[in-house]
Amino acid sequence: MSEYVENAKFKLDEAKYYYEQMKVNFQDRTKFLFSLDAFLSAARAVTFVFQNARTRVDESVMKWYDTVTDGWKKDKVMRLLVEMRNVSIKEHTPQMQTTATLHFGIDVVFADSLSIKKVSPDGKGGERTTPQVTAAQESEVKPQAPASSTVISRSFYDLPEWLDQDNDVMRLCEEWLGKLEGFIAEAEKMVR
Amino acid sequence: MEEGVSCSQFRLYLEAAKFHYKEMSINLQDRNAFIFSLLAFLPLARSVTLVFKKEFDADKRMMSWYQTKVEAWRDKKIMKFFTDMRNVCLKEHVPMMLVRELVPLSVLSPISVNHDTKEVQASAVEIVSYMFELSEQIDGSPEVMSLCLEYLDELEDFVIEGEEMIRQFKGL
Repeated sequence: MSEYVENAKFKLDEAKYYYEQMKVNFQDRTKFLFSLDAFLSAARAVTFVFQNARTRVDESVMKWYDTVTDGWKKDKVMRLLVEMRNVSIKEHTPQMQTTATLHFGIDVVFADSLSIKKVSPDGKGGERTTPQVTAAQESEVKPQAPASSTVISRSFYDLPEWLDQDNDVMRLCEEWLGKLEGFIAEAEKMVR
Repeated sequence: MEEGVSCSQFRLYLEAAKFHYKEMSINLQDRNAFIFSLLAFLPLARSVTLVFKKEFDADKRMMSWYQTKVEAWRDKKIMKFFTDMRNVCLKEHVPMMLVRELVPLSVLSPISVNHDTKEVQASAVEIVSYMFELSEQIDGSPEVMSLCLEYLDELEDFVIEGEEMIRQFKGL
C-alpha cells in the first residue's frame, strides 16, 4: 500500500486511540479535555497527510480526494471538526457544557421524641412513639456522606450558528471517526 | 498556579503537554501507546506559544516581551527541532525512532527458539528508551524522553515568566 495511505491510516488509529481515551476519562474533566485536544489534532491530520503528498500521488487518487473533501465542505459535522481543531490549536480548549446527575442522601435525627399515629377506616388505629435521642446517641450521629456526581453527557458550547445538530461531543467524534474510516477504506481501494 | 493570575490558556496547554509526557513515561513498554502519547504531546506543546500569541495579540507590552523570547530561542536548536518535528508528524509521518531494548540471553539463545511461542520471547524484552533518528539536528543525546523534558522545561520557564509579566502589567 502507498506510504501516504499508511501514514493517514496511522493518524486514524491515533484518533481512535484518543476516542477510547475520552471514553475512559469521561468522568475526569481535565483528562477528558486533554484527550479531546489530542483526538481533534489526530483526526484533522488524516487528510493533511494526503494534501502534503499531493505532488507524489497519482492524479486519479487526488481527483477522488478533491471530490470527497469538496463534499465535506458542505458537511456541517466535518466543518465543525476543522473549526474545533483550529480553535483547539490556536486559541483554547473547546468549551464544554456538562450534564451530571448529583447523588446525595439526608439522614434525619429527631432531637425530641416523635409520635406517629396511624388512622385506619376499620378502626384499627395505632400509635408509635420513637424514644427521645439521648446526648450520647446524638454525638454518635455519623457525618453525612459527601454528595457525588456522575457526568452523563458533555456537549460543545459556543458553537457556530450554522450548526443545527445535536452537539454531544462523543456522538460527534464518533461520526467524524466513521466518516474518516470510510475515507481511508476507499483510499485503500483506490491505491490497490 | 500562583495567586493573582487567573489560569491562562497557555498555562493549560503546558499542563496538557505535561499530561501526555507523563503518559509517554507510563506507556514506555507499549510502543503504540507511547507513539500516540508523543504525537499528542508535540502539537499541544507547540500550541503553548501559538495560544499565547492569540491571547495577547493586542497587548503591545506582552508581545514585545514575547519577541525577546523568540529571539532568544533562535539560538536554541531544541526549539526549532520540536517545531519541525510537530509539522512533520502533523502533515507527513510518525517521527523516525530507534528503540533500545534489553533482551535477556535466554531469548537470544538458539535453544529458546524451540520454546513455546514468539509471545513468550516478546514479553521478556524490555524497552529501555526511544531515540529520534534525526539526531544531527541536535547537540545532545537523541533520547526522546530527555529531549521532550528539555523542551517542556523551556516552555515551563516561558509560562512562568509570562505569568509574571501579566502580574506586573496588571499591577497585581
